[in-house]
Amino acid sequence: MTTRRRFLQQSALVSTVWLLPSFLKAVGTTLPGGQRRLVVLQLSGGNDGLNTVVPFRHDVYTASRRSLALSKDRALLLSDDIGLNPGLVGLRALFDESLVSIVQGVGYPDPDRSHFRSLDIWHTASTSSEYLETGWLGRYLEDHCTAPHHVLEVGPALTLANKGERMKAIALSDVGRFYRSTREPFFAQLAEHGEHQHKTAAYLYKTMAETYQSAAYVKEKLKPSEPIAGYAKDELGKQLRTVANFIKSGLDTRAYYVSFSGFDTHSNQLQRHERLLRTLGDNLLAFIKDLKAAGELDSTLVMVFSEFGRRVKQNASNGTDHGAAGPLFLLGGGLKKPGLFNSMPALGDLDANGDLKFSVDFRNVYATILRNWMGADPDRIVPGAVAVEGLIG
Amino acid sequence: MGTTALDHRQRIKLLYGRAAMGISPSQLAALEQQPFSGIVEDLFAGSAEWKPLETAQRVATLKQYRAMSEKDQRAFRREQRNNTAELNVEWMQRLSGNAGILREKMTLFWHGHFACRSKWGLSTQQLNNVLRQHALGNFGALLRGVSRSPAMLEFLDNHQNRRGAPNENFAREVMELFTIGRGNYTEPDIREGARAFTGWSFKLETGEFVFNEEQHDFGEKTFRGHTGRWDGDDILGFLLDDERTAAFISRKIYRWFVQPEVDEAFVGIMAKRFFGSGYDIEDLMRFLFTSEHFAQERNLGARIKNPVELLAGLDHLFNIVYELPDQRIALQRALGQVLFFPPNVAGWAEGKAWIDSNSLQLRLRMPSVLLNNGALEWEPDGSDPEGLDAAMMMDAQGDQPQRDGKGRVLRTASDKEQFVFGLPKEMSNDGLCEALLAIPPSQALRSSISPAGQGSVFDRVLQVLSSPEYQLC
Repeated sequence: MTTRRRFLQQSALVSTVWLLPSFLKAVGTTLPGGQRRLVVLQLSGGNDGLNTVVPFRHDVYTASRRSLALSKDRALLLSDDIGLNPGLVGLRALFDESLVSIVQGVGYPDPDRSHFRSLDIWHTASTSSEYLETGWLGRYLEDHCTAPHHVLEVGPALTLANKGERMKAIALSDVGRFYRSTREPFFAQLAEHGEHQHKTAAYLYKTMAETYQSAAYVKEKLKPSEPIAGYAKDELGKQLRTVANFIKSGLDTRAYYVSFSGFDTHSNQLQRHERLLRTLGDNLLAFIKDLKAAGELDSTLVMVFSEFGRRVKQNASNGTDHGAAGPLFLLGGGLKKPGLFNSMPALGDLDANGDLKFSVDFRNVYATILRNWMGADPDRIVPGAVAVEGLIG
Repeated sequence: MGTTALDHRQRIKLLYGRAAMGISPSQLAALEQQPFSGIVEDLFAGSAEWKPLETAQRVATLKQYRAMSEKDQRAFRREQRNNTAELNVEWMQRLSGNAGILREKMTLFWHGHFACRSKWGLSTQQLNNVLRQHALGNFGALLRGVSRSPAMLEFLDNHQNRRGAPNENFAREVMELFTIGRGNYTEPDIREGARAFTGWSFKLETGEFVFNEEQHDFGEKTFRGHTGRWDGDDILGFLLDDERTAAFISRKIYRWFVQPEVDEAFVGIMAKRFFGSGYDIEDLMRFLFTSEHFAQERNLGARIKNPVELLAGLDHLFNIVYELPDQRIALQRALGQVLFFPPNVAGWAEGKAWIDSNSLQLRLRMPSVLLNNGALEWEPDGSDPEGLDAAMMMDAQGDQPQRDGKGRVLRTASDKEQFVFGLPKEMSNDGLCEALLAIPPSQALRSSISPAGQGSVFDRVLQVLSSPEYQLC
């Protein structure tokens, strides 16, 4: 029986001629905007913002959350009337060191309460009535970068946020595996020498060649990672440690993307949500410490978001249903106003569904990061968005 | 690549790439003897009849569903997901076969045009059968059928569209995505249109359309200059009376079946014909497939196969049997296109949107994975709350795949011998490329394929299929 291994071995018999097609270009060149980088962390499933940044004294909150409301004793106090979920010990430590900015009431007009549609909106930075085929970081990649790995997703598949039209980012979970997959002789041969006169075929060959080169660049740059204390032994810990290792190895990647799922807490949410936030906070603390020790914290900005918050009123299953606006966290360098950046949307003025109304459009946050942090032109990437004053410098 | 006319063989390959899921070398050799017009007619004749997709369904009224305990609701939802999974597998099987393939391919096109997700198996099935029934019929009937389908009405919130409290989602998408297209309507059109669609609702348990008189706004509306007590049907009628609907649909058909780079002059000819025939889809497709414009060199390989075309095409060549039918869905997921789960109401982006570093790597390995005792593992990453998520990772070194007792190792069987048997004797590598690829191979591919004397024919076939060129049709 023919095995796959044999197929690959046979293809290795073909003689190797090292000719680089013209479109193979040098990678690893320094990019405009210095060495600053962005790390995006997506909380998938719709994080319950009200039980994350908790208005523990508010009547509407306590009345709406009969079994879920967090009391003053339990919350980690940030002010007289706002506290963090008790799971967020790690985040609280960072907050005390002025390394966190909490932006409350982030959302968009006419919010969509479907996971996939709302993620779509966050990924493409569209309005809720338009459908875009490219993501905001994908457009950034296309406009401002020269190689796919300048935006890197640590995970199994590429998120729409990171897809441009002509250029798309790379997703990988394991550098060795990713590298080896590009080096199978048959495919390596095609990546090295493949050229085609046919326009669409040429695009595919170009993608292969870029993948091949980016894999080599990342593999060569990567330094062995020493075990760092503090990261949780879970998927998120592993992913953030990978990102930290990339940063410490000096990769010229401008944006990293990581997803953390499990936030769709329709039932029995109290302990589950606290557990999720505990691992989130602990991992973020480890990540920030890791970068700080390496001297990379000032050049790294972390943005944590979720596709929507949850309904103010809890449901009959001790959980919460899909809502609208929620908090967004910024961590690391460049924060102009650490702490609570703004106040929470009024709990007494909910929309027709009983959800919080947004006060900050997420596209404006994107535009702020692009302009003030990445040195990019937001007008082409998030048209119409306006930078939020005083957020990032 | 220009306007050079194709020879007979190329023309058949192009036709089968677009109107079907590709063609096997033996099928191609047989068809070559027939005139092109007869080949086209046979495709239409083979799709003249239609058979609905039917899988067992348990249904409940919304009231019954709400009365269930939380545990029963979860079980019910799981059952509904399983129903949808069964529909997916059954449709994939049809898309991989020969029977009625043109109708199934058209249904796939309309599935992207009238893109919709539903939690309920019966609604999913009902809408899909509306698409299938009218796939080659009349576009007006198709549009009216879709507009009355519980799946679409629920997806676009029209059950919440009531007199005095309109929800404009449905009316907006009907105009923006289903008929005349963006830029050809105004916000007042949407407001007035939404009023006309008030009360268009459904019964979940039977999958039936319901006109809810109490919720309907019987007042006067002014829609695009016409004033009257319009209802939803009137609105659809006005939209069909507008030639721009014919142009919008013709352009989309052109992009999908001919080329992503649109020849506006030819689309104009298509639109005129489509409108003149009262929206006869079959007439339009026959005109397109037999046109000289279609049979041009510039169209060869101009389409990047979507994942369903890639998977169904391989299945069609090799009669792949999946030991675990759900793995068909896991593969779709890994490649980024799951039937019945379009990304949003605008459907799949198609074209270059399918290609990134990761998806291309996976696509190139798909033939060896599917046909060569594939070492493919995947792990659900849990990021899809709808529960169909299964992110795959290739084992690049051909190491032993890890088994975790949950059937996560791909298990397939296929008719390799049959395929090789159907090839002409002593087939050269150039011959294999010509028979299996839409465009000539790159120099690198030609020199990467094992010489004809070495290894089995099947290995060489596999190499041809594991190429960027094979991604195109």
